[in-house]
Amino acid sequence: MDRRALGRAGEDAVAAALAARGHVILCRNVRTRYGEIDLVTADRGDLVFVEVKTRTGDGFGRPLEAIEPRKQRRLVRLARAFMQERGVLDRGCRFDAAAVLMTREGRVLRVEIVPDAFDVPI
Amino acid sequence: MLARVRSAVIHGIEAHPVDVEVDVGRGLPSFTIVGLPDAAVQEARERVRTAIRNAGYDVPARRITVNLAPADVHKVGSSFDLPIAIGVLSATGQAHPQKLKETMLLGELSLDGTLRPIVGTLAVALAARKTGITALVVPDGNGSEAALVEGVGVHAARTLGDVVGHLETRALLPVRHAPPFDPSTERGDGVDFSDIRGQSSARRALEIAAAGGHNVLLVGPPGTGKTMLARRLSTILPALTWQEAIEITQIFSVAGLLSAGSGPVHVRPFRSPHHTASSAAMVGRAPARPGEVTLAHRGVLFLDELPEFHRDVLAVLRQPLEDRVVSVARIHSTVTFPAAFMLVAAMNPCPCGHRGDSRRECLCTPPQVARYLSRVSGPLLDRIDLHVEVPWILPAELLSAPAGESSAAIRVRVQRARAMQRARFAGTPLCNAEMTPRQLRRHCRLSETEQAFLRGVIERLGLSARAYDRVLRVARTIADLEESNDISAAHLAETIQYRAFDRPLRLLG
Repeated sequence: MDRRALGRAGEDAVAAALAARGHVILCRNVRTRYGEIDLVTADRGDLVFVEVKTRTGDGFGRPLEAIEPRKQRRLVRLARAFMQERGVLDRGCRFDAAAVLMTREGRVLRVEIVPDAFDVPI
Repeated sequence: MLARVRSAVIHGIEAHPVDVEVDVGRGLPSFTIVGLPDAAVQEARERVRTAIRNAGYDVPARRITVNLAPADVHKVGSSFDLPIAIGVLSATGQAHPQKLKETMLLGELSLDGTLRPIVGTLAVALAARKTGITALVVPDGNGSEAALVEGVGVHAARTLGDVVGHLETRALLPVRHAPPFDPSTERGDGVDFSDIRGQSSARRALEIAAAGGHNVLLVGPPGTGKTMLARRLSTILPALTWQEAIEITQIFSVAGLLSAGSGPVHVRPFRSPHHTASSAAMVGRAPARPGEVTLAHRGVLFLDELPEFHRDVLAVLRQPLEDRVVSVARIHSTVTFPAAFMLVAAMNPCPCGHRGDSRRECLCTPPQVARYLSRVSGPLLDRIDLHVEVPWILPAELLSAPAGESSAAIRVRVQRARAMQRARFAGTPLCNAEMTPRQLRRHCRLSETEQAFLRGVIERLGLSARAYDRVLRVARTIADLEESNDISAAHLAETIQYRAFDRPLRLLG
């Protein structure tokens, strides 16, 4: 599988896992002015912005560690743009982080979801 | 939702009320603290968040804004953890505290939700009483200290959960009672004047110093007991009054020198900063770090090797010696700390220390000696009433000398002399050393014969006019020790012995 297909498969797995937890999937790979958000869902009235990291084997460090402060700030900027474009800036929202571990053939080994993974950095 | 919790911040050694407002709103999740927080207050975010979770509550993904009002006062320290946590719990509807209006909260949170002791609790309790707050919730380790203030109910809590239970009136915390106050002058380390053999004139000088509150300079070769003598001075000073004990406890509390769970300070402080101390260490730092002169308040500040201190350190001592307080000015604020201490300084007669020593030859050249002595500036010496020589004693003499009088026996005489002074001044000043020039002229009147005697001595020894006032002041104390209303020629004669530095010829060889 190529990298794009792997990423796509990982997002599918996370969307399925979130739906099973009661999230309503709103959009996938939604484009804003500043870039793309992997997944936007609604969880009990809160908007949830999800960043998905897919890996095959953990030779390059744990996937969740890849979401470091700079990526967090980027995601916050994307979320703000998303809410602004749709006029929902006053909605409660949060950021979840998801990690998917797969085999090279595209079999999902593990899905890990961290709800409320970080705050808006100052 | 908005919650308002009362707390306080330390400025100098006093506390000022601070309102902690917490708002939880919609929007991108964030946790912001505004109102001039310092680094320790900023870090409260991480402690509060974790402590709340570990105490079994939740920090929801909401926009949390904490405002510390008034906004123009710098907020320092870790004591805002508890009020912020209670504010978050209340604003998110997880707790329903009913006693927030009349209660002041302070405490540092540990990650597991337990409360850690903080500094300055006594000052906060005093401020609470002044603002009309009736209850105070503090960490368990600070309970005894806060309970010293009457009129404020002090509740000591161990965990965040305890505080929530108390404020919701589900599980009230008991009111702490003040620990007993016993102003004993026995120091914990058991030092006593009876440890000192020989050195009768130095012992006498320290007794006079204690009786009149005079500053002392001890001059002598190394190893003659200058440090030993100074250390024992606080054991013959009068016992602490309640008011003095509260002042000292408040200072020690702000400085973080009070051990957790301890009550009021019972003994006069003895501080001996090393001669490498900086002037900031000596006078303190704004907004809330008392220096050595303040830590020695109502006690003794001992400066060993006086000429070795940095020149600017000696210069900053002049204000506290004159005004009994020290002001520290910084760009954003000026703080005044109390600094009513007795100064005891010690020095060698020359750089090598052996000038005038019968056993060893002094290797210093006259210019070296002059430079050494000149480091101690005139204005500082001016504030030191008693200059005492502490000579070398022969070992044989030392062994045969009887054990000296005990501190307790000397203290009886000191307290009697202090009683004379209290009666004379009726309140202010406290002792002879603090007399104003006008009081000096009124209370130290000399008869014709004594005046003539003093004039003769001054001429013969070449004493300065400045020294004249010093002599009268000390003579007054010596007369008080004998419970005599008049200053006699004998009192004056003894006083002259304690002016070694005003007789430059002798010291400069």
